[in-house]
Amino acid sequence: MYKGVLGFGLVSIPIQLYKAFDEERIEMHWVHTVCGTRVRYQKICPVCQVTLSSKDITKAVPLPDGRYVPLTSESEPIADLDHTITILNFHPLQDVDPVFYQQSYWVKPQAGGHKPYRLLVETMDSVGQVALAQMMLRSKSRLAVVRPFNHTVLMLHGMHYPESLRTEGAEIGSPSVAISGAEREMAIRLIQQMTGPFIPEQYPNQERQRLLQEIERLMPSARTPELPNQASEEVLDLMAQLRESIARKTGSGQGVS
Amino acid sequence: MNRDPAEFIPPMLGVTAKAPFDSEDWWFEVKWDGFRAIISNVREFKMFSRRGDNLLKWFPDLAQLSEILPRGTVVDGEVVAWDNGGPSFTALQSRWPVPHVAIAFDCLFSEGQWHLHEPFHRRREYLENLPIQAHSALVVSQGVTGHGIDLFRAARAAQLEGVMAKLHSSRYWPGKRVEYWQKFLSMRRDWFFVSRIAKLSTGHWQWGLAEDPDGPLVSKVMAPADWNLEPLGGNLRALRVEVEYRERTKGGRLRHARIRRWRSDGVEGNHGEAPQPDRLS
Repeated sequence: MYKGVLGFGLVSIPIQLYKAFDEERIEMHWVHTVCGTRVRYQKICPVCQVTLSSKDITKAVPLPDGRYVPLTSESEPIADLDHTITILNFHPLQDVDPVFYQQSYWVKPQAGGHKPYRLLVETMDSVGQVALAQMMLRSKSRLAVVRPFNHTVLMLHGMHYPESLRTEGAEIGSPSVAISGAEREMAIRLIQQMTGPFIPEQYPNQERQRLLQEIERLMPSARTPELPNQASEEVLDLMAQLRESIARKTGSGQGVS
Repeated sequence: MNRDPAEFIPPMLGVTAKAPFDSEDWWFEVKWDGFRAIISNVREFKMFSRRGDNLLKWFPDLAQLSEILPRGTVVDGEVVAWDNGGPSFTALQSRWPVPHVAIAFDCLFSEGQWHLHEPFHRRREYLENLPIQAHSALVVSQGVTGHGIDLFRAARAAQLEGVMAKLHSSRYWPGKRVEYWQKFLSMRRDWFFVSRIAKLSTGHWQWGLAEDPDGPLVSKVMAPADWNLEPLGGNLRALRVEVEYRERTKGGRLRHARIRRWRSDGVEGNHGEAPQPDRLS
């Protein structure tokens, strides 16, 4: 999906990124209930009452007072011109709080990149550091953590920019409550009772499985949208053609009802 | 007549005409190569096969017609599978994922009453007056009065199964094969033995057909691409295929032959299911 270069000092490693996770949500579309045809969206201007195409529209930023600041093409970032993931620094993994993490990707070395890739994986693994990098993804500048996984593979985690973290959330927990020793004891015991190794298989996506079962159950009602209509149009056209060919032969078309 | 319009009524059947004809007393329409269907939307929506089986079990997509056929109506028609711009019996029988269309050609019950005793031309008016949504999977058959021969020629040129001729003054005869309905068939159908098979360089199988297992070839036809006869190990003795063809040459060979379905020791199959050895034993 993303081909680029992982830049580490003077070394450039050609790589490819793959999403590490399948899409968790099941793909769905809106269809017209009557005919099963997928709905189409149209951009319209309610004032001019016209349908708009992409060349008729411009991005604009709303202001609190109701005005809009229209952006020009120069305002847009240069799309994917720079396919470089640049390593900026190295940090211990535990210093990067999970709050920053977004999507995970597998990093696959491309031709000519296998040796430096391996070197980077093994070195980060042995010194216990992960790389903080800057990248362009879908014409947006992003931060990312690149780290060894399973001692042989690099994984990339797209990150939020730290400045976008809402700070007011940090003050939610109230400090002015008295907790007794017994209450603390009880809480510790409860946690200990529920403590165990993390086994990923213990956490299946039950909601997704339920929905998949429901789709399976409804499978007999699956239908091909729009095509039946097209077929019936062709049936009608064919019958009309046959009748016309007779009308032509008989000249006046008499007797053709 | 105390028939329940929600129940199955056996469809009226026609005879094969000796030859196509013209007559102002007759109505002519395309004969579609599909499954006969009695479609009833009384109390609940039902589609019966010629023998009264539930066709919706095979074509659940046609349940959408419950919204199209007006409530309190029973029509007679044909379900066709539409593939590559034409009806395909093979696609229908094998239930390939192609669009299905129901073509209604008779109205047996509407406006709260049976029309079986009324003449065909009256039933045709009831049919044409049904408020059926345009662009839906339900289509009303179109035809002509008088010009049976021309319609038959046009239908044959369009590679359709043929033409149905219906006497305007005839009532509907449930379950009867009567001469008030006559078929003009553009293709003949017969059952043949497979006397030899050959694999072509294209990877397709070519079958040699004969009247007897060891008789002279009457035709070579291509087996459908999804048929694999290798498991049979060359044992084709029990295998018979139904072939549709235009006519026979003077030498007895078939012109424009095409496989329709197969049968083996009482087991029936079709294009979509390759004959398997265990079926044949």
